[in-house]
Amino acid sequence: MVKYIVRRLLLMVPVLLGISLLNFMLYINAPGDPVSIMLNPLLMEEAGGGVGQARATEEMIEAAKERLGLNRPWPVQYVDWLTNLLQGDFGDSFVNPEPVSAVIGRALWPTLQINLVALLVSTIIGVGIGVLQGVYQYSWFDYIASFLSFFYISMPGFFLALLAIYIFSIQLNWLPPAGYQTVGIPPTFGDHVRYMILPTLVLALGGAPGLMRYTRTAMLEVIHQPYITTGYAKGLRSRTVVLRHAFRNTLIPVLTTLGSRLPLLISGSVIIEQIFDWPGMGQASLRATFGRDYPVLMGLIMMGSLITLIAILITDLAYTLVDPRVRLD
Amino acid sequence: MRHYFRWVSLMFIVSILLVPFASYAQDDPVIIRMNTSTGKGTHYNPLWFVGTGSQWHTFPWLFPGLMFFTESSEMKLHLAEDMQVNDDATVYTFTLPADAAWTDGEPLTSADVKFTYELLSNPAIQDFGATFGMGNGIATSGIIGYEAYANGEADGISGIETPDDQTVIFNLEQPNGVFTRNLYVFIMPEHVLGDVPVEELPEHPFMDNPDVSSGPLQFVQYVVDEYLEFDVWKDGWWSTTPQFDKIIFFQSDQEASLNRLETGDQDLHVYGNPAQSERFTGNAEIESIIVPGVGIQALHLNQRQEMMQDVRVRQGIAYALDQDVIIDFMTEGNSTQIDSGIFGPDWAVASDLEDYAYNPDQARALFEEAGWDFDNNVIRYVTTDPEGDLLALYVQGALAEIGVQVELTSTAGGSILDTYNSGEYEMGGIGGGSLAADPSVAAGYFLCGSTWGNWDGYCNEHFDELAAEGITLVDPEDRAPIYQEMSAILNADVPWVFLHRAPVSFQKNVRLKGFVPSTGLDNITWNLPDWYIE
Repeated sequence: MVKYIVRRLLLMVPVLLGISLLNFMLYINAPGDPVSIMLNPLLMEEAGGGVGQARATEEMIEAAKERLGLNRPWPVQYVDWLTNLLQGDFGDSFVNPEPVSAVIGRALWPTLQINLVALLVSTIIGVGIGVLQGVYQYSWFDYIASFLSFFYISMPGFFLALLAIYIFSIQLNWLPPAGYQTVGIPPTFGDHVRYMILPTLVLALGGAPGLMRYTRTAMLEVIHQPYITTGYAKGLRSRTVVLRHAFRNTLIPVLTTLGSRLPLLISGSVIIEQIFDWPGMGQASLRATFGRDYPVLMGLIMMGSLITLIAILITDLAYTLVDPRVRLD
Repeated sequence: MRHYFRWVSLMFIVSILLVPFASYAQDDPVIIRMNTSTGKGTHYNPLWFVGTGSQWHTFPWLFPGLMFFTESSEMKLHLAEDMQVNDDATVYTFTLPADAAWTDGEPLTSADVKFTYELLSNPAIQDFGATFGMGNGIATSGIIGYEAYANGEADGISGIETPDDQTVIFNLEQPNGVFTRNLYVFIMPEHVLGDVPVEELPEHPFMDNPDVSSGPLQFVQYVVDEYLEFDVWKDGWWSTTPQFDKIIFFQSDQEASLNRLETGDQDLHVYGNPAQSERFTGNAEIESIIVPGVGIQALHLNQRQEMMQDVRVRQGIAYALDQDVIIDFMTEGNSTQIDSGIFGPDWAVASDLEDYAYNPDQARALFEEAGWDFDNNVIRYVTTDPEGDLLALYVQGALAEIGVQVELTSTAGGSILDTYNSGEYEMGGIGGGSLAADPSVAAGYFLCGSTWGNWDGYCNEHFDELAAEGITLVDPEDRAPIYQEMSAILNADVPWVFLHRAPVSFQKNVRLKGFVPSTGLDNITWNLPDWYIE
């Protein structure tokens, strides 16, 4: 097991290097350079203080490029960036004079909060209902659950978010429509939870239907197996047969689905965070994209890639726990 | 036992679910909440001022400058309580209030003013990115001794005198009747920053936590990318103490801000657009305010390209466009047509300007007169959004009606500056600015070789002569004939096709009182101490 893990971890190194090189190439060749965006005269007008401001000249642009090191050949830039990365330094943001690690550090916890809870809720709902659907196939419960799962799968997340805001914030005024907590008063746990509910609910409702379908299908494959019939014939309680014998054998596809969701814990959801003004990784990615803030983007992408690879490894390891027949070697 | 356990579990779950709703009654302090622009910066300090529109609106109330803007973007006394100008506008004398002080109890004196102006004249300031805020030298250039100080040949700016703690005198190299427009510079505490080498300023704690200020607001915290929070300095020296306890500036996008406004979680929405007011039709809690702004909406015409060098072509474009239609689709009818780049204040605008009323026949005739090659000439209209830019699409259609071809070209990645600098375009849309704040501001966009927005190569030497004369005068009666003539020149030359005033749109909760809308976006908080919650 240890040998396997070490081998997989070592394999991640060339994969991450390849991802980093690919991303760097994309950023070098992307249209619009960061300095021009930073010094855009129209943005300057928006930024206040339009009176008395000069527009950016070629000299200013060149000076800014020099300061940011963008005048150097791209291989030099890449090697520099990579060397710093290996020392744990993601570099500095182009847009704001702060380290990329500070941007990530600030955005990570908010994203983790809603995604972790959403993953938990969607797993409980999705797996729970999926199991029951498998057991009570073609019942009214199964039909209603299938209808709802198709409904939520078909509905775009942003629409669900807007709908939730319209109903729970604007019409009922139960929950705040945007933000992280009530600003200006001492922070309380309860207040923060109020702000978490809608984005978490939307994320959970977005994730649950897929799990529901996977679990239902897997259950249906298992529930008609001879050993299940044997279990019933031996007089075992229905709950025991379903949970101990049937459900355990559905876990492989469920784990695969869950594993694919783990990276979302870190990378966040751009659209949901934007709509709910949630200060997480999704929003940070969006701002970095619009601002051509490539160091931040590269940092976020590398973080996301690393977490994805680790999630795949964890999923593979989890297979051995739920199914002893799986051999990692 | 099992029964008991179930009840306890149920009660626990219910209590957890109720927690979020238990914190409603904690909102004791009177708080005003508003959004602000999406321009953000990591630091809260006017010395580090790149892309920090959010902070801009608060600086005048923490670090008041000698002067600030009125609602119509004219200048008024702010920190200073009196100003005297000599006859030829070369000496400006300001008097500071005797009781002016910093929040730590230190007196605010003329030494702080001189320190600030010298600090922002220091070339090293620009090395750490304070390129476009206070640190660009614009505010101090023109003061006697500025050049010598900026070049390291002098220890201070000799033209700034501080004969006593309350008096600051600016001696200028040349007459400048509009010198006050540069005096919004935010005054910094010398006793905090005076001993800090400029090179170390970026790392100084004051940059992230300005715990000493002089205006009616005090810094509480800046949660980057989320909000700025300020307390009112209740026992400060400022003449008007705000009647609220806190003010919050959200750094959220438009939709989140409007949602907060609609649910009552926010009191004021700024940086909006007129179309947003429709959303609140019939909502008694929300009031929409739309005022014609000091900014401009126009088409700029690149006279570095041969196609745009004939004035008849430029006039022909103006006649080909129906301004009423443009005002309708761009501002929902909430704006007024303008006929010159100098379109305000009223005293600066000539009364007999050509209005270029929609006349496609005349437009076609002017193009023909100019020898336009209808078959081969294609005007390149540069836009960041060729498929969604309504103005660009309208111009393309309107000119097609008179046989003139327009091609919409993308700026490839949004870098419009690259396109402007390359010169590879004939036309583009432009909006914003504060041109109507003072005619001298507008004139800056049309001076020969100006880097202040004149990237189209327009040049009229007589216009430049008048502009040079205009800025030497202080009295509007003396200035009026000069600027009226300049407005007529722009009207005839059509360096841009002047369309309309860019409207400024606000939506506010009716409980917010005392708010008076500004006509520009630089001065939204111009009367902030008068705001209150009813």
